Amino acid sequence: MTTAGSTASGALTAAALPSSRKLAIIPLPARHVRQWEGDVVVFDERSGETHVLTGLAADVFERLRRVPEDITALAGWVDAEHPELELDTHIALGNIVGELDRHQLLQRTLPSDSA
Amino acid sequence: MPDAQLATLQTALRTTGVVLRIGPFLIRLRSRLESVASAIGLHYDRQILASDEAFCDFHVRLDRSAGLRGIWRPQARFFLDESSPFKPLPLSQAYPLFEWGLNWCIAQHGHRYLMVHAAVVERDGHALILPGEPGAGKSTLAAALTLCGWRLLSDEFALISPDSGLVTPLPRPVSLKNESIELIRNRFPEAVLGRATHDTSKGTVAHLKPPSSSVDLADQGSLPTWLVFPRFTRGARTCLEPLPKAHALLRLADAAFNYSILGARGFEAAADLVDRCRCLTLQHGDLDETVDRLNALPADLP
Repeated sequence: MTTAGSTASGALTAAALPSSRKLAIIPLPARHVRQWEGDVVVFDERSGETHVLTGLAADVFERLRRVPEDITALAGWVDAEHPELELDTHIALGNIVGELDRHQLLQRTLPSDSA
Repeated sequence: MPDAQLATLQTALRTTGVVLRIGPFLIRLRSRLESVASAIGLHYDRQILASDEAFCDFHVRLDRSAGLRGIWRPQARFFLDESSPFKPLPLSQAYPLFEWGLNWCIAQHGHRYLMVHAAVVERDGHALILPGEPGAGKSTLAAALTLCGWRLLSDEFALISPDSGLVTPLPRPVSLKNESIELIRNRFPEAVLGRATHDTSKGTVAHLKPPSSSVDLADQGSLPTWLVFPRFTRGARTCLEPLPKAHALLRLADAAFNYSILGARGFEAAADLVDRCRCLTLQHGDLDETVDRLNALPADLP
């Protein structure tokens, strides 16, 4: 079981992504994603792992679950939705995308794939 | 139990064995030990079935260890299907060994339930689940609440059905340890406690007989309403605080014996339970104050 928040520090993984690729959350059964009080709990049947996402990480997870986006568009969405964010958006986003990558919850598509 | 009945029980334990219905499980117990017979007669008198019951989940035997060592240091050994999964313990600990061995049997084989290490009591159709590590005070709270009129569902396991979400009762004696024994005895003089066993791995242990009313309702499951994680702190004031549900789910999974084994079913059962319940942490150090606070828990769902 893991917990990911919005303030964890780590490598700037997102900066290394080809910006043309869209990020999306892997398909998950609805019963394996639970939301309470702004937190998200995800069960990954492949690994048997349970992940807790809080704060901005939970918001980014939900956004990418609904709308596959490239990192630039995602950063724009974060700036618009979270003007109160004190961290640099790209650093915060890099940490969160890195965390979602480590949990293998992300998939990447070319723009034409999701058209 | 009257002497004549106890003698009959001893004979059955030595020969055919005695079948006990404990919640959803049937246990056939054989033993030649008088201490086991008297404890079974005290605690399980309403759960003894006819010994010709064909199917049993567990075939258990408790007897003296064989060999020379048994002459100068008598020991008791627990057998499941005639194999012994544990090291023997001093003979004086034979009955606690039965209870601990039965815990092991259930934890190993009860995978049709999500099994959480927790005490469970119920009031007016609402179950209160108290998960906790040893020392969290869950048995003491379960004993006190039961003696204040709550129904005892379990001291050790919350057996949660993944399909219905109901907690299945497992009414067994409540295992009290060390200072809790005198605390309960003094606070509730009417409590029926078995003989204390000293110098066990948990210190001194004595078992509280479950109320007849709890045993008689053993086939009636209950919907969980409150999920409260207790922590005993000596001398502390009672403090009940909301626990975010995501964190409650992680703590529930940590307290479950088979969360990983059940995979998706385990997650779904745990998440449904958390979804349904009011989730709280409880710091406690004063039994009367804590019982008052738990008695006042509102049943309205979040």
